[in-house]
Amino acid sequence: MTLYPCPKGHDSTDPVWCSECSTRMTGAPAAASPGGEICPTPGCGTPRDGHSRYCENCRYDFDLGTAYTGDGAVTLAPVDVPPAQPDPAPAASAPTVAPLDTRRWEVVISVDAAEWEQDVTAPAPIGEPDRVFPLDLAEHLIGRRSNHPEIHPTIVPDERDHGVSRRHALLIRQADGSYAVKELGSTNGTKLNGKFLPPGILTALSVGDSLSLPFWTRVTIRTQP
Amino acid sequence: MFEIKSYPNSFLTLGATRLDALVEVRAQGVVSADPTANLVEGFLIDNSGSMGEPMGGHSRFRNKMEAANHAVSVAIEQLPASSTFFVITFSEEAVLVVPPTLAGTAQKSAAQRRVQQIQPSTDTRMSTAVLLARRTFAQCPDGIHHATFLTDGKNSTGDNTAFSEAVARAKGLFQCDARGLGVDWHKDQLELIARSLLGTADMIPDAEGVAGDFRAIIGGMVEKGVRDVRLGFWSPKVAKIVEVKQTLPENVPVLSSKSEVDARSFTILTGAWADRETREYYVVVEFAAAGDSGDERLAFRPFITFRDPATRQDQTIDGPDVAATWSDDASLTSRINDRVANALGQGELSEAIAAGLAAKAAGNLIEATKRLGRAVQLADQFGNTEATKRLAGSVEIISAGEGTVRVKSAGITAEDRYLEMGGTRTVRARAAQ
Repeated sequence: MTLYPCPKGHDSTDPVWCSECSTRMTGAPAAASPGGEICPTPGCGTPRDGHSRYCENCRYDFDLGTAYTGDGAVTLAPVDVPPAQPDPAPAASAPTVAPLDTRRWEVVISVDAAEWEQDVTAPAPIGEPDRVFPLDLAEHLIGRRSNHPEIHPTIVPDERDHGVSRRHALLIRQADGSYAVKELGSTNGTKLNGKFLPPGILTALSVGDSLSLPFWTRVTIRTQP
Repeated sequence: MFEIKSYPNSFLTLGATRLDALVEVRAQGVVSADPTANLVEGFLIDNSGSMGEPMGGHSRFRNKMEAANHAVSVAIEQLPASSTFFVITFSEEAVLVVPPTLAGTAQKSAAQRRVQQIQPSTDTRMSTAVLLARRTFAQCPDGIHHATFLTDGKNSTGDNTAFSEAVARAKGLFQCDARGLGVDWHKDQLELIARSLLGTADMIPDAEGVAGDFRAIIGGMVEKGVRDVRLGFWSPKVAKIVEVKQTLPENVPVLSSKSEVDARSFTILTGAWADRETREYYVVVEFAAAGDSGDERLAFRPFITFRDPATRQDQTIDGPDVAATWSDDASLTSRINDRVANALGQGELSEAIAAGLAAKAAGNLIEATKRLGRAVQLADQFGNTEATKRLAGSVEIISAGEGTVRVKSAGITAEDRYLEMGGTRTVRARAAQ
């Protein structure tokens, strides 16, 4: 039987962990989990699930090596998105199918009191920093959180804006990778680039579009930098 | 077939000898057309005299017996054609009302007609049901053995010893989910079945709920693809596993049911698994001695053993090596893994619910308010909506985030019993915010 010397001076029958004191042998390969990679976020350490782009626990981006920065409470696993490519050329009048939109979209929530008549008892918190939510699911609900009934939107505007309904609008991924918006019959309505959206009808969105929710929530569509 | 991941608190302070880890086991690709994976379902239905009484409130059913018969019929309808089923009623003695039958359309109809004729009798002797179920399952050696047990009352006092013995003899032969209808059953008796026979124990608050509950049980069982799966742990000479608790989908201590394989390893029977099913276990390892700074030592290696339904070969799947590293860097050793924190937090939730209800039963409403308030706060924090729902029956939630509640009534109510039975359910760790 081959014996291996362990750093503590034992003779081990195991080449990786000393069979006597269980210490890792010098020169032994570092422990590897079945998936190989491990999330480096402090306190996480979740093994990478196959080739998933994001950590299933903390949404760390393995491909880019960046931590998740959005602050939406999202419980669903991220959806795999094809790797980013340069923006596709606009399909001006081409009769062919529009090219797949492989850009990754996100929305910016900012405070903008210009669009709606303001509630003087609850003034808009002008100057609040913007918040960013990545669009990585097939559907994103914009609305207020609620325990009764249980509603857990993935995009939550500032809770102080009480003009926002619990189920206000839905952003839905289209077959080509872009998103469309559906107004869900909210109490106060939604404007897209200044015009009221008809409830229940899907309207395609493009990058740069801006949704406005009463009384002071602006939702701007952009691609991830 | 199985994927095992570990989430240890890897870094130990100098002098520390205890390692905490969470082990996640996930079944992957467990789908089999083999007869060993077919469901054999037994319905064990109480037909004691009290089943003939109506329940309070509006109901389609004249009495509990009708509701139970209806629920069994619905569950039979739901069984896939490849499965086998039987029905046992128990009162003074157990009767095999429907013997083991293949779930073909004609057989199902015949069985449903027979089930509709079940009448309430007298007394409740649970041991007779468990023993007859055991004998009946023995006639069907292949397949995933599962029973659904329904009672509305307590076991006959004279039968309790026989009942515990019967359950002990049934261990490993079939799994059983136990349900109490109404409020007159005994929690310990349902839990004896659930804990020993790898099932769940729960309350069905009203007659209308029986069919839905049975449908959920059968729906879960038909998904199962591999039976008699064992979770094992191997540990080196210098480390000993001192605790293993299942923490998902429910908090259950499981170390007491271990069977030793050899001096270094043991296994725990976990029952049948469905494809993509995930369970989590909280493991504590005690080292004989602490290491020096920088030492890295192997603590344990989890593994899964099962008989592959396709090849009929015994298989062992090894999990990752879980090791501890001693360090004098407080920024490393003070780190608690998110998954370990989730398991510990939901353990605290179960304890808070139990302590709160115990205080309420003892008439200490101040303590009950404090403990149940803490439970509401923890349930909210971990997104345990089932716990929140059941808590909302017992207390009026004023602020979930602050844990401010108002206890609805003195004394133990039906809502409290419902909460008590669901108090050990857990949910997966939420994505970090």
